[in-house]
Amino acid sequence: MRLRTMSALIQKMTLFLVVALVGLAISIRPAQAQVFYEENKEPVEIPLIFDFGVGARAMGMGGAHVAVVEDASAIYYNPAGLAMIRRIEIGLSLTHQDDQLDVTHRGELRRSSVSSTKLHQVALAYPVPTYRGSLVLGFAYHRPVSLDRDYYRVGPTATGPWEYESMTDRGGLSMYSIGAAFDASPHISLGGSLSLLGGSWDTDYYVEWDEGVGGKYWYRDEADIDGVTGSLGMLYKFEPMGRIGLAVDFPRKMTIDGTKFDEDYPDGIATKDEITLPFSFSGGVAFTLSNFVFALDLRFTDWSQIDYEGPVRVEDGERRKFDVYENSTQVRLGAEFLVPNFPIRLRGGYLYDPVPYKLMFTDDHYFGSDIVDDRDFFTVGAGVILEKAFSLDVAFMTGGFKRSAVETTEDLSQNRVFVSAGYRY
Amino acid sequence: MNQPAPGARALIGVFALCLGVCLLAGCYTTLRHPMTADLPGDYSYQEKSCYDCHDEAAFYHSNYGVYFDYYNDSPWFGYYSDPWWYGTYWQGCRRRENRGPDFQDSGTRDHWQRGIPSGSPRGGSSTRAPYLRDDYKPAPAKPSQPPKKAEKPKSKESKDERTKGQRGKKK
Repeated sequence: MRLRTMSALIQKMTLFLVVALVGLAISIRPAQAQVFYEENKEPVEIPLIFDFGVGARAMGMGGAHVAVVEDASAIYYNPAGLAMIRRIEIGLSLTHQDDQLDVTHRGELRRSSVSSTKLHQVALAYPVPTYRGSLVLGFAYHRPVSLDRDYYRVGPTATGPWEYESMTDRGGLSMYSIGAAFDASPHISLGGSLSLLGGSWDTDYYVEWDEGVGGKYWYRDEADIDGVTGSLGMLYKFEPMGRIGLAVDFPRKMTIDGTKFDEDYPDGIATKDEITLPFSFSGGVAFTLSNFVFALDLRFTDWSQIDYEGPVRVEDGERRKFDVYENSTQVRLGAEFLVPNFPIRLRGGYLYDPVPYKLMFTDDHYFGSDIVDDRDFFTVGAGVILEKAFSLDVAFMTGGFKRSAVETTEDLSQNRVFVSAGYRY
Repeated sequence: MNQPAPGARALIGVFALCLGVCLLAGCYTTLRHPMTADLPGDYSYQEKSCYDCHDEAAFYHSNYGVYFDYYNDSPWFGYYSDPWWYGTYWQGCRRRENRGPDFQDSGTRDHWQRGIPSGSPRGGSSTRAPYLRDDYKPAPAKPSQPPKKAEKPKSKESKDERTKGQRGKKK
């Protein structure tokens, strides 16, 4: 009976893989040509979609944690993993971001960098005493999306001798979550979480062209983010060596209320945006061999379903319509090695996270972009346990991506350090 | 913060409904032992351990395979798999790999003051109906008269010893 159940699960996983890979194959990008859009429906890049993940143990394994997860970060990766927790847990994480963006515009290279350290996770898990099975409640604060970024470009344009443009974003998207999970059978756990979204997003923009004879424009936007989302998860444990995890993240429905200041409105004018990010579907498998754990996750999101005052679409010169975003499948690979006779675990991983946005903004217009190097990261990490109750994990990830359009190239390299501490009693 | 959107209210409803249905519909996870007829003698469900009646009781909470076999001889074993309502996490704990063959797990479930089995058999196949073990000796019938004063423990110390003995061994 168990074999039959497992067989059905493997079939579903295979179907999921096929759908995800087909999704990869049918991605279409417009050529490097100017695109056009309806008035007041500017096809901007929404950085809210760049979700790194949480927790040092997970990130040391490339974020492959949908099946592995057995701590309070389960609220984020797969709520069903909460059911694995047997002791009251308090977790805390910090993250350090170090990004560098090189923009080469008509032969002129300019470099901008961002460095910031933030509280990344506070989590509490409470296993309710059970006679049989498991029932665990979890509460967490996560900050999975950083909006800190700098952009700086200078050089001649298609219509003038010189242009200077800079944009500075600061902020982040936070999740305040409650979750619960229980064992539905000896080998199957189910869980769910509900998250209120919050955060801030401040932008400073400045552009100046043809110094002396041209002009300049600036604005400052200060906004707060509110929203809601949720997720459901399942974990199947096959003894003695592995697990399969499935998770569905519901759409993130967000309202961005801001105040915009510029020369016309020095005292500010209220702005409001409503953005809904689509469903994400994750599947993962993890198994052990000797002192190793190996894990693979796939996470599929059809970003073309982003709702930003309707679908985000543009037209090319021949009035053919394109979705500005395409679907993407994250691939997360990770391994962990438990050092014999030492309370230490070592980790390594790889995260492939293709950029779903097809455009670039340069020369005052939007153009189709070419992805030169798609977004990916390599990760390493380690963990130690002290006095059976206190765990400390660190992870480092490095990577980035490169894209180009119309004599402009953006080369973003990103480094992250994650430090997590957990106490169980 | 804004009023929760209609979608948020629907999500909360679905979440609460799923959780309630699963917990109330008799799923695998149980918070209390199902009420059945009392067992004879001194046995009662409030004092018994799962393993006294259920062969597979070991995977009720201590599931070696589920936590990956590679934790078994590591310091992480307790961190992940010892339920907090079992009482011997720090008290008198010895590293699992240093335990000798004579090691007696004297742990108790502090939360409910129940005994736990000293052995941890893995696997098991079925749930048996409550039964009387071969070495079971029924307790003497309760006296109809209150015990005489002379039969009461003479000191607090001896009273405590008797309580401990009753919890650990039932005969």
